[in-house]
Amino acid sequence: MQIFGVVAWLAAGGALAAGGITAAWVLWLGLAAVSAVTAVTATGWLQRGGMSGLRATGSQAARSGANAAIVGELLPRFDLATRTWTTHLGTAQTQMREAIDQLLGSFDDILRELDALIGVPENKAGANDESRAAVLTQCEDQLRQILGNFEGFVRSRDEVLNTVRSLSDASGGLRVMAEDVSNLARQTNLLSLNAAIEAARAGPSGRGFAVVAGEVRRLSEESGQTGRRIGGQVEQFSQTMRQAMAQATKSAEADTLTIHSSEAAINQVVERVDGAVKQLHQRATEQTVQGQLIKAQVEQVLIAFQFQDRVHQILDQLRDSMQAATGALQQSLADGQMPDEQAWQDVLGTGYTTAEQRAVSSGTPVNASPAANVETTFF
Amino acid sequence: MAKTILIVDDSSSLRTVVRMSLTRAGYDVIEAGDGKEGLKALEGAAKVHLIVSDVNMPNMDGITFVTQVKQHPRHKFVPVIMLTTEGQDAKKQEGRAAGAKAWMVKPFNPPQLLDAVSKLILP
Repeated sequence: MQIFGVVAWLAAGGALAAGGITAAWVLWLGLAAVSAVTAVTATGWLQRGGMSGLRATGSQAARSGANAAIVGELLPRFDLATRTWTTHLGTAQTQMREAIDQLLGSFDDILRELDALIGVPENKAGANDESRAAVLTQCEDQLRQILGNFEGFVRSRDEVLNTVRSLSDASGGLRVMAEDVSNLARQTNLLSLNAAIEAARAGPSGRGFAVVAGEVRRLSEESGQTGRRIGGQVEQFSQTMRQAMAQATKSAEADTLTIHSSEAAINQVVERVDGAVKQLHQRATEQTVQGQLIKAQVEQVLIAFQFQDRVHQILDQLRDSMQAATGALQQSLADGQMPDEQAWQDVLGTGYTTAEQRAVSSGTPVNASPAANVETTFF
Repeated sequence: MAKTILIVDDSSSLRTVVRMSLTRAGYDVIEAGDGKEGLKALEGAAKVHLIVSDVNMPNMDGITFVTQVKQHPRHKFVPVIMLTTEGQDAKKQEGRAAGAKAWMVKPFNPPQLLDAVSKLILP
């Protein structure tokens, strides 16, 4: 009896320590009552000499008959109590299982959400770096492409300017040619004058020649005027060209400055964007690390939940053991003999599955919360 | 295509923990509450690449279940990992004799289970 009480207390205490709070408290209280009832009954019974004492004397025989009647009445009540307690134990276990299943489901959801938030941890950082670098390179390429287009436009304009410059140079030749025309006209005019003088000397025979000399003079004057007009136009054209060239050169210098400053601005933009992206990436990395820490903690909690399985196995064995012990007691009392110590140990120890149950049985210290096993036995 | 693992355990919470560990590693999982249900699940599944089984279960215990699996012409080559609270050598030998390939004592670490699974699972 006392062995049963001690084992039951230890086992219930072990279950409580292992984490089965609800079921263990029910068990604890129940077994306290079992221990109390059995201890009182057994103590009184033993104090009165037990079965052997009951058979000792006549007066004692009368007392033993009365005790046997009491024990006979107690047994059905004790059986009822055992069945009631085991039922409560089963109810508590069911409630605990359902609650744990719900908790595990919630943790499963949490882990899924964490996975969705932080993605695949192994490649996350590298993927972010590559992605950031790719986006930045793409942005930079596009900006530089715009700059390249602008430079192309400037080059195209420079080519036009060169063409205009060559035209300006050609206008100088035109001016010389216009002067040549004017010189030719002056000389022709002089020749026509000389021809007119010679025609006058020839008298009437030179009259026709004088008319020709006059026409040549008129043509030379017109040629001279045309040469001067050409010279004027060429000069005006040259002046316009010089002005255009001056403006184009000034504009080209301004464009060159604009291109340089645009390039610098693009570099600054790229650097600033890179800095901002780096900062964002750093924050994302920190969040990923935090997420992974939370995930690891949740996974540890899930591992801890496995201990509930051990608790249930201990409680199941305890329930079966209580029923078996009740049956054994009934049989012992019916036989009028105390149960054999080894047989009693066997009744209590049948169905042990965990190391801590066997430790209780052998009287060695109980490790209430065994660590997760790390070794696998391969066959 | 994901490989399929059958979990046989009477503890729904333990099945949940094992299922979570395996599905997160990319395996498909089917579950059974004892050995009898495990045999039915094997019959119903297209292909099972590995079994993770408890030992102490109602209706049909893990050792009997593995023994019957190993006698089945279609499933006898499916590797079995015993995952149990039992740590005694005598029990381990029973598992070995029945045809199990590995023995792990609860509580387990998920990476430890995944390591054993990756070593034993059928191609």
